[in-house]
Amino acid sequence: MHNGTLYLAGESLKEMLLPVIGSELLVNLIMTLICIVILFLLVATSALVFTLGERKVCAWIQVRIGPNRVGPWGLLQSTADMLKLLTKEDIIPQGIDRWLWVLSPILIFIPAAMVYALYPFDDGVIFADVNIGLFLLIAISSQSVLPFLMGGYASNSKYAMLGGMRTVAQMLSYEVPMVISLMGIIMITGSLKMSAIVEAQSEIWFIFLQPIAFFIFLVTALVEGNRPPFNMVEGESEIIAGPFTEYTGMRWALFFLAEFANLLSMGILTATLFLGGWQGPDFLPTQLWFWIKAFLMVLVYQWIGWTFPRTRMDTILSFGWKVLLPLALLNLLLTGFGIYIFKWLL
Amino acid sequence: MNDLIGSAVFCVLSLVIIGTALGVVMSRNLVHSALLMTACFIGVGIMYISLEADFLGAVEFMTYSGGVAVLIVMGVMLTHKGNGVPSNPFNGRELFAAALAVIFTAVMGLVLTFVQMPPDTGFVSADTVGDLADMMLNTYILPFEIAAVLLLAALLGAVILAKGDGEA
Repeated sequence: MHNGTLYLAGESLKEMLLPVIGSELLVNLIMTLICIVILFLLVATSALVFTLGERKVCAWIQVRIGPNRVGPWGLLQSTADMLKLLTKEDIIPQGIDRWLWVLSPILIFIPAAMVYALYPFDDGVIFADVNIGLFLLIAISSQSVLPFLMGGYASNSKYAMLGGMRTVAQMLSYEVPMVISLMGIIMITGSLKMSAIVEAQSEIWFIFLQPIAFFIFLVTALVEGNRPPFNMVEGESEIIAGPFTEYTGMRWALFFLAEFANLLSMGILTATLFLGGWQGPDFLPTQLWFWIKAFLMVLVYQWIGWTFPRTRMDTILSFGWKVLLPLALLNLLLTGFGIYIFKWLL
Repeated sequence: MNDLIGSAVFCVLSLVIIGTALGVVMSRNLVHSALLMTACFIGVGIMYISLEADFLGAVEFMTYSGGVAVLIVMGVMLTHKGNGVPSNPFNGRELFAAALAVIFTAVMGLVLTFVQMPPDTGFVSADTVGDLADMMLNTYILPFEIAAVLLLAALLGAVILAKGDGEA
């Protein structure tokens, strides 16, 4: 059976609730609701932490101090930012496509939050451990292309439109090498289930078995998550803020909520797929290992982002199609041969 | 209880799918039509998942939503906007379309009433992905490969068309 700390906590809560409420169906319903609330809180907290963390890390890498005025060491900066955004004027530009414009920041948040249902946080702790786990995860996260394009189109502004077009170009092109690079992992595991992928790494992490896939995933995750140095969608020095140009206040903040949810998502996904997920040596609880790995990967992504200058649109597209895609296909071939040789040796 | 939830989900999904599909046809704006089509596809994908064809549902999300994004980009590039002209105008063939729709509905009704449906065995494979993979890569490998070659030829043709004969 499962014996993660989080799993045991959930089980004991269930046992405590059962005599109080009586019906097992009702208890399961309540547990599901609790899980959903926890996942949403997690997403919201990630935004709160990363608004400050991102700027602190960026400052640290670029030998600056970063925000340090609000609260001790600038810890209350996120709160101040939130209050500022809430009290800002809600500007609705003229000539926009009203419905699409309003829906875009809301819709962009849905796939970003939904993927959290598919992450194995601890032994036995996964909201939906479905058969097609990894594939469904990629399918859901690929839905975040359209809201960007919607926002870009609806804003009726040249910069926003360009940003929207760029989103489609880069996100769709990089989905191809990402999926093919992850195929190696699926071949070794023999399952698309997220929990099975984590369990397959109990002997050796996939980063050692699939180093090429890890490199490809690192690059494609940065592109898909719109992170610097591949944040062509926003590209402040070229197109102001891309699809977000015409948004103010809370609508603008929603875009960033989704972006920070995606950042944590990238960290969790990399840790789960390549670094063994919640598994680790026994001296620390599994739950702690999970968050250490996830945040380490977030730090790596930020480190890459704040070290390299922004690339150009045409270079990242040709890099995706001409370098990463053949490399991913080669990795697929090598993995196939590797599995055969491994079976033959046994 | 489960049956009730199942039918409720089915009804709501059908309403969403039919509503968005109507929207695709009725909207005067090409981009709205395309976006409503995505909503329709997502509805169909969820319907597949609720009918325990989870892999097919995820494929529906992945391919169609991406395809629609490219479609919208094409639509925006090829049509003008903001000059008052609807980008997706009606073409005045409502009567013909209505007749066709009536005939189609009649045929579907006849099929539903007169064709003997196979009995519902209630059996759904636990491992749809594995079974599908087994079918595609073992039993039906030849059709699968033929489709792959066809798609490759289409891809190469598109490259030649886009880049011109001399460059490619």
